[in-house]
This record gives sequence, C-alpha cells and structure tokens, in this order.
Amino acid sequence: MTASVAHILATGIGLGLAALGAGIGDGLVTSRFVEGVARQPAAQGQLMTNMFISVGLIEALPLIVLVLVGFVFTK
Amino acid sequence: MACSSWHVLGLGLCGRTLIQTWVVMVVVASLALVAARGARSGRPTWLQNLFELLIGFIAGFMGTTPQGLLADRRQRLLFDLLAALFLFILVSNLLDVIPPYSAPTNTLNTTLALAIIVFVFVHASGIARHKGGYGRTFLHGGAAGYVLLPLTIIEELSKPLTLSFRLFGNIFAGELMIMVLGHILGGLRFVFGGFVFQVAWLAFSIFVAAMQAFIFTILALAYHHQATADGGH
Repeated sequence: MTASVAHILATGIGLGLAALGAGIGDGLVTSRFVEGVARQPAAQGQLMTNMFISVGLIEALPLIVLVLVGFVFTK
Repeated sequence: MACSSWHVLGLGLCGRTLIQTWVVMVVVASLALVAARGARSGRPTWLQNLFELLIGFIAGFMGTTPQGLLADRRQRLLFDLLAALFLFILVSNLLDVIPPYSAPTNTLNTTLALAIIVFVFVHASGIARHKGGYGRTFLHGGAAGYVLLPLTIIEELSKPLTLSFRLFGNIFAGELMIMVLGHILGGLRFVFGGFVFQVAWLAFSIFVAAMQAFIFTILALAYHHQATADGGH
C-alpha cells in the first residue's frame, strides 16, 4: 500500500464517517421535531427555530472533519 | 485557497478577501443609511420595514424590545455587536451567490477574526460584570469545580474555535460544492440547462447563508449570557 493509496483510503473513510455522523444527528433532531409538531401543532414556529439552530450546530463538526480531511490533511 | 497576497508594510494580506470585505461593508452601510434617512413614521418604507424587522428580531432574542434597548447602555452595546455580526455575515455569505464575487467568509482569516472579536467581547463583558471574581465563575458545581477546571478551560477555548470553523466550513464547502457540481457535467453545464444542479445547490446555499449568520449571532448572545449571568452555569 503506497502513501497515495493510503491517503485516498483515509480521505474516503474520514468523509464517510463525517457524513454518517451528520445524517444520524440531523435525523434524530428532525424526528423529534416532527413528533413535537404532531403533539402540538401550535408550537411549530418555535420548534422549527430550535430545529434549525440544532441542525446548524450539529453539522459543525462533520463539516470541520470534511474541511480538514478533504483539504488540509491531503495537501 | 486562492489568496493573492499583497505585501503592505511588511505584512502579507489576502487581497481578494479584503476587497470582498470592503464590498460587504459598502453594501451594509449604504443599505442602513438609506433605510435610516428615508424613514417615515406611520408609513414605513420597504427598507425601513426590513431593518425594523431585523432589529425587533435580535431584540426579541435578547429578551427586550427595541424601545427597551434605547434605555440600557450595556444592552445597547451587546445589540450593536450582534446586529453588526448578523448583517455582516449574512451579506458576506449571500455575496457568494453572485458569480464574480466570492464570500469573504470562505477563508479562516475572516471567520477567525469574527470569532476572536466575540471571544474578546464576551470575556471583557464578564470581567466588567464580575470584576475580580471572574475567575471564580469558571468553578462550576462547588468542590468538583476545581477538578473540572481544565475541562472548563478547554471548553472556553474551543468556543471561538468551533465558532470560526463552523462558519468557515459551511461557506467553503458550499462554494466547493458549487464548483464540483459543475465539473461533474464538464462542458455540458453551459448548455441545455445542465447548470440546474448548480442552481439547486445555490438555492440551498442561500438558506445556509442565512442560517449560519443566525447561528453565529445566537451563539455570541448565548456565550455573552453565560459570561455575565449570575448564578448557575
């Protein structure tokens, strides 16, 4: 296994794990949001605001991983 | 990262980013001036309405009203910072949509600077509020606070880091996606509507732009509240 093959593998695994993390996190938040709106439709505005805040916060770390693995560590 | 550096007074500056920042400054300042000068009472102009909406929105998150802001000087300082952050980041991110321009926030230079501004402001506000006892507010939960102190310090240092990287990552990755979606189709992206993927991603980018500006502002407010509130963490 040469260095460039190892680089490509590392990039692929890193990006895949980042996408997995973002997907699961966003899915959990959104499912709770839909459940909350189903229980009380009047709260949709406030819940949706919180959902977008949470999605932005949760996606921060996978995005950091993406930027680091994709552009910093592969040079 | 495309950064044609200028050399001014022995420092290397990122020319493209600086010019984009100036464009953003001119846009925000001129919009605000036009909104304020043309303001009417009773029949608000379109721009005035937009700015009043924005001011009411931020004041609502601070737990007060725009009228209440006029009274309290310290609240006013916080509001100035939040409104400036929100407008600057929003317009910067939206500048990405126009082809010759790119967002000044697509480089860690800009976002780290904004995060450092927030960091300095939050801790200065905390010191102004707690004076000498500011260090003691980092000891949460009685006796265990000393044991947790290294973790608390790391958490405090990670706040500007994640703040800057979140904004940088979102905008930079968004720009990169715009480029990658073009390269998938190669030359076909110029004909027969082959650019529809890029356009769809641009639409999502506009949403992400507004959301990231909002999150940056909300987090700045939350950190300020944590630093200046008395009582629990």
